[in-house]
Amino acid sequence: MSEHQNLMVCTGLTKLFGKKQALTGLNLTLGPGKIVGLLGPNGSGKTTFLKLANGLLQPSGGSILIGGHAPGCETHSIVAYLPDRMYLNDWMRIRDLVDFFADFYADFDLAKAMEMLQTLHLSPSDCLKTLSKGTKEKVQLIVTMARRAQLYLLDEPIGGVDPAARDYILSTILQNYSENSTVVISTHLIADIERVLDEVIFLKEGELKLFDTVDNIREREGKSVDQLFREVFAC
Amino acid sequence: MLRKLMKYELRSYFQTLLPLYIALLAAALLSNLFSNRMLALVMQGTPANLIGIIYFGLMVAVCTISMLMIILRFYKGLLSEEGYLMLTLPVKPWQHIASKLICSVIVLVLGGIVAIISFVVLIFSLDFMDPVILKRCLELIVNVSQNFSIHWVFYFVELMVLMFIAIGKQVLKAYAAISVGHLFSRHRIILSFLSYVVMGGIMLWLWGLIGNLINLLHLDHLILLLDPETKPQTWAYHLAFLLLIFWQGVEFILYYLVTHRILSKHLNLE
Amino acid sequence: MDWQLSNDRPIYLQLAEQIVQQILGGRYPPASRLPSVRELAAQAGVNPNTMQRAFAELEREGLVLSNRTAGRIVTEDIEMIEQIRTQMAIKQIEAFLSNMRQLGFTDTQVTQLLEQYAKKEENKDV
Repeated sequence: MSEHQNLMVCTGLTKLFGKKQALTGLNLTLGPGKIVGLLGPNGSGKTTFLKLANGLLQPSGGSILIGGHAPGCETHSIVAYLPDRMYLNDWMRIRDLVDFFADFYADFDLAKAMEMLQTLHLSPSDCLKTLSKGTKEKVQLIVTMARRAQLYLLDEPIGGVDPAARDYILSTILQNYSENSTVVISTHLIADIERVLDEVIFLKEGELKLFDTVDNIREREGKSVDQLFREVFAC
Repeated sequence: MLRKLMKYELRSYFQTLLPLYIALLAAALLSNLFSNRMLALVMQGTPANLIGIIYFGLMVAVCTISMLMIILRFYKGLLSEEGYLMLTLPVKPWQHIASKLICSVIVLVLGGIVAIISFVVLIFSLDFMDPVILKRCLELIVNVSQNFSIHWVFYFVELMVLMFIAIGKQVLKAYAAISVGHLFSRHRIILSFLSYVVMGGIMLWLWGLIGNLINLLHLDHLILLLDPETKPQTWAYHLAFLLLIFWQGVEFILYYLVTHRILSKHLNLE
Repeated sequence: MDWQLSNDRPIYLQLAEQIVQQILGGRYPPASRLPSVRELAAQAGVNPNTMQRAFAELEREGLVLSNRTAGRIVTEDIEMIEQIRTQMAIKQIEAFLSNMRQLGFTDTQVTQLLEQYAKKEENKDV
């Protein structure tokens, strides 16, 4: 893979919260056309990493570049981010949120969003305020995945939803797959998503423990990534 | 992009404020109707008092909710959960600040206009249609137009500019204080409030210093050089306006720069 | 069809093996067109890149040919398919025999057992 094709490049990326090291000297390069698992137990720095990639936090040291730019207006137009929390505005209906995305993102596919809403039996006229937590998560995921972005950064997309929706979400990610776009999925539910991943990143206490392809890991270790994860992070 | 941001911002505001405006105007109208002698006789005065109290309560509500919302729309809309949506849009920080600021000023000015209209509705009575009063009004208008001077237009423009800059400055001061508060990982609200007070203090000190400097150098006498023979007070008024605009304008820019710097370089969303 | 994926080996190897089985089993006859990578990946619930790699493995072995216009097709070389079929049969027999030896059977005993078993099955059918 040639150098200019690198979608995301982290060099010595470090983030401190007070004296606590949330991320320590992360060096990482992601190319296009990959589905990458960002794995680690709670508090290992997954969310911090994704927030840094979206400019919601500033690095204490090192740098992160997406498409050659530091996180900002340029990168926001090519990155589709699903945060780990609810950002929904109270007064909006589902339809308003979809229109909001269509308004601000040139790469938003309105027809696709409506189709996904229909598949998950969500009515556009429903008020966001009245939805359950799991349903809200689905809505947020739909508007994120309905973009034709170059980089999808999904923070715990399958954590809170039921198994049926989880399957649908994974198949959506697979169908959405294109050779130009890369999907980063942070999770601690590895067994469920192992087979859809190309590469995995293991984070442990803010440090990069492992970055390799799923097949390489299985070939080398003779065990699944899930089993390896349990060993690496055994208490 | 600025237009789109403002569209959603105004919708957020008026979702809450529009019903309040309508209620305020309705209360004013009802209060007026019930104060009317005929009706008052029938209703024996009690509803008029009650509606008067409701009107007063609504007036307070419009003022406080408008101001509270201006602060919350910034704090919750950019620096809390909703910030995860707003600050990852392909929008530049100045556009966020500008949209919030313009909409806040619109809300304040519109709130003021609605309050004035409601007050007029409240006190309006057919007695105003009395020929004597109408004649007085006509005389006043004639009087003003006879003494008309181009300076009145300038005064008006200067007052308007000053008013908008002063309102904008107050809003930006709140934004800057909230932004500074959010840099800390704990006690953000208290620290926001504290930085509001501290920034005000710093500004006061700064202007005091400049004021002393002007006194020291007797710069205030320069005004006499402008037009010592004809109507020196006219020019003094203009100069006073311009100085006030300059003073508010400098604070406006400083608070904007603080807010912009933090939103573009020091975001710290927990 | 069901894709069985175990945890201990690379996913692409398991996918390749199962595609071979489908070709040998006649689901995809010689010279027939194979579904697209994307289709099969969605069916198996795996990453398209992994399915791609499985196909690359099969192309390397010559069992599957990449055709610019028609997509991927199964080889027309029946001899090769037969060869692979025989190879796989031999592997199965080896595994079977080693299991039987562990149970204490000699190879001649195993052959006798198999003949008896085959006769019984014949009678059942009739």
